[in-house]
Parts: sequence; structure tokens; C-alpha cells
Amino acid sequence: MDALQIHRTIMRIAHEIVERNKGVENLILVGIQKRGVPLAERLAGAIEQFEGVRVPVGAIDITLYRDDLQMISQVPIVGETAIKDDITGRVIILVDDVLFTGRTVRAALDELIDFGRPSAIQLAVLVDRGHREFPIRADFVGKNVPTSQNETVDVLLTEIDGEEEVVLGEVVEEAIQTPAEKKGVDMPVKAKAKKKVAKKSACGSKTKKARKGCGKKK
Amino acid sequence: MPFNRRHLLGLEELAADEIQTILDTADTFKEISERPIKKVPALRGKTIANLFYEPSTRTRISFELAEKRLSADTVSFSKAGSSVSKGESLRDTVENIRAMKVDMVVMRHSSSGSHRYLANFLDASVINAGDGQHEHPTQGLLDMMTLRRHWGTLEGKHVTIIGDIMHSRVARSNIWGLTKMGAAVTVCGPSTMMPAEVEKLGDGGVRVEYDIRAAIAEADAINILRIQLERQKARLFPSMREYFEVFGVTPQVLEAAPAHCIVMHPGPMNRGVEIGQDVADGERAVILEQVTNGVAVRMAVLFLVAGGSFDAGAPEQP
Repeated sequence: MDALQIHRTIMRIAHEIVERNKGVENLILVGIQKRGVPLAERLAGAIEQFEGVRVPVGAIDITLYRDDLQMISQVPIVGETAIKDDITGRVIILVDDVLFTGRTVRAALDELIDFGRPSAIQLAVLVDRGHREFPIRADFVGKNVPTSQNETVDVLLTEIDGEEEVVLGEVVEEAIQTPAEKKGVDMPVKAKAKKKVAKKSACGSKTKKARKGCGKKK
Repeated sequence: MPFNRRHLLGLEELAADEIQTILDTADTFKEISERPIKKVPALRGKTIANLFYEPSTRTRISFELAEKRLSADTVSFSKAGSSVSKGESLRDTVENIRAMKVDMVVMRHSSSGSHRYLANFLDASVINAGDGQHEHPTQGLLDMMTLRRHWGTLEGKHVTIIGDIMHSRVARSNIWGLTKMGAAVTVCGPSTMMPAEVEKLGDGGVRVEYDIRAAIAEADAINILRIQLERQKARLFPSMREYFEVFGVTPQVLEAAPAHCIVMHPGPMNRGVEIGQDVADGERAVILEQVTNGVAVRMAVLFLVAGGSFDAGAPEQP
């Protein structure tokens, strides 16, 4: 997907959200860090364009609710969570860039209900790449991209990556050398990590940086 | 920079970007204490033992809250009414607790270096809540977090620490942390409570002043240390009243400081000794904010230390 396709898809999803919910009353858009947040902002902007109403936008970081916190070798960076309004009784539209295994959304659901009791939670994603490991589905999908397990899907957004593109790539498994091993010192190591590194032809270092510190569990 | 340490024993051995990581993480954790449900499952299933061999209210409660807010299971031990009064050694107490499969130990002890001793033989992570006169790293971190939230950065700022520098682990941790982050530190207090060669402490040294007004003339923040009454019995100063006359921070003394200067105190305060009533309750004091930040900083430290999968040791000295 290129920039124009992304834009049109977002406009279409915005319309679908308003259509499904018969208006914008009681809606809150909540973006999942990182890339769900600018997408949520864009959806709010689009809805404002044709409805004249600004739907409130929040952000959640699901790092602390991940199911693999004890297993990943490097402590991930925790991003900002900001939900300013009371969510009880409201309809939350969770927004993320890619829907993959569904674990991120599971974590987001658990985190959201610690904030209150919404009347409904709907899910909007730009790309659905299949391979669900949990019974989770999106209500609004930008594009279905069938993939295999050793492929990757990365959404690049201007606000975060400086460019606008959805890129497919391939995974190469690679063992990380711990600093102790690098020094040649024998030290007991609790967890040896295998890092999934995407082999990219068209994107270079920006994509790798975007995935650093976090397993790409979706 | 990812934080890879298995223990937090002091700020002296940390690199500036490790401190940065802790402060950045603490900023995001502060929001959790404002949620309706002040709990996240990050340390679910982890067991943390709090061993406080010295009395403490705020540090102990702060750590307990931080642990509970991360969903860890906590068990607290204080010296009074424990086997220590029966003569059990530190090592035996800890070996017993270790046999109960504890993941982390948060300890405050009167012997400097006791945490390094523990860290050397425990599998569990050790967090220093104050060791003798050596360091109180989480206090240093929460002080830096408070300052950073006020100014946006610590680089190039001036902080004056006033009080019994010689016996203060809070002062030492602050000096190490602040100088590593690019702040300039001035220490001020009676010469009887100023350690020899203190000007060499920290990353790049500190300035020493004995005149309080000169010490705070350029200060962006003043950190006031508690005067322990035992020091008076040891005749390190003649009387509390005289200490207050010369080194007490009152609104009149504060006139010598820049208008934007904020006032900090690690607590508990001796009103009328090191800090005047009107300053303690005044609008330049950020003391209660320090307490709130303390919980966030301790959550960040517990989270980062629990996540470190191996002890990378000290980075190369720059």
C-alpha cells in the first residue's frame, strides 16, 4: 500500500465506524502504541471532516500487559498511556496498524477494562495479516494481506517513520550474542534470545529500529 | 539504552543513559497511580521481600506500594520483633528468606556495603533502599525525576545540597546521579559535617560552600537534608537553634536564591531545625511531589531490574 491507498483506506474506515455506530455519540478512539496512535488521530480528523464533531482520542501502551514479559531477554520500553475521559458506558474503537496473532489486542482489552466498563469495544486495523492465535477479530479492516509465518508486515507512517508505506518482508532467525559471550566470559545466562530480523530490500535501518526492544507479537 | 542490571546497589556505577532509561520509565509509570485501578500485571507472580533493618516509613511504604501496583507479592520484615533481636546474622536471615524462593530483595541496612555483600551470594535481585552512609539510589533517582519534570532537563542546572553531608547517603546518591546527568552540585553545611575531599566526589566534582547565601545564589533547586539529633549529642553542632540560625532555610534565606528555585527535602522534616515552617509549607517546596514520584521511580526500578536477564556488570568508564 502506498500513501494514497493508506489515506483512502483510512477515510473509508472512518465512514464505516460512523455508519456502524449510527453516528459519533459516545465514541472514543483509542490507539495502541505505537502506530495505532497516529492512526487513531487520523481517523478522528477524518470523522471531524464529514461529521463536524471531534471524537476524543486516547492512547494505550500494552507493554505491561504482555503475556511474554518474563520471557523476552531485553526489557521493552514502556510508552505513554493517556486516557483522559471516563470510558464507562462508552463505545471504544481500538485502533492498531497490523492484526496478527491477536495477543496485542488481548492485552489491550485487559488493560482497557481496568480503566472502567465500556459499553462496547470495537477493533479497527489497517492491515489484517491472518494467523490468529486467539479468538479475536477486527470490526473494521483496511486491507486483508494473507501472509506466511516467515513474512513480516510493517506499516510506516509519516508521524513516526517519516514515510508512508505498508511493506512486506521476510524473517531471518538470528541468535544474539550476549555481552558476556562477546567478552569471552563464561557467565550463567538466564535467557538466550533469538531475534527475528527482517531482511528488507526497500526499507533499510528505519524498519529494524522500529522493531527494536520488542518482539513483533501481534 | 536497555537496562541490563540484576541489582540496583547505587548510582555511582550507573552510566548516564541507564539513569536516563530509569527516569523515562518512571515518567510513564507515574500515570498508573492516577488510574482508577492502580495496578498493572507486569510483575505478577514475582515475590519481593522488603528487609528493613533501619526504621523507615516513607521508603518502606513507597516500595510496598510500588510492588503491589506491579502485582508482585510482597513480604515485609522489620528489625523490631524479628529473629535479629535474637541475634540472627544478616546472612542467615537472608539465606532463610532465599530458601523460600524470593525473586527480589529490597533492603535497608545500617552497614555501608551490605548490599554488595548480599548481591554476591544471592540469586535474587538486590535493591538498595539505603545502606549505612553509602548510597540511597532510589532517593537520588526520585529527586532527579522531580527536578527533570520541573525543568525538562538536568543538564546545566545547579543544585545545592544543604546539611549533614558527611553522614548522608541521600547526598552521595544525589551527587553521583546529578553530576552524571550534567548538573552542577554545590554542598553546604557545618564544617564538622563536611567530609574531607568532598570536592572530588561525583563525576567532575562538587563545589563546597560554608555560607548558605553564597551556596544558593545560583541554585535552580535546594535539597535540604534532615539533621539527625544524634549528631548533636556527638557535639558536631552546638544546638539545634544555632544550626537553624546559620543553616536553616527560611523565607528570608530564600531571598538569596533565584526566584524560580525550588525546595526539596527527602523527609522526615525537622521543622525549625533545617527547614523553616513557612518554607516547608510554601509554594516553592515540592516535597510531597517527591513522595509521589518516589512510588513511580521505585516501580520503574523494580520493573527494569526484574526484566534484566543477566548481570552485564559495570560498563566501561567513559
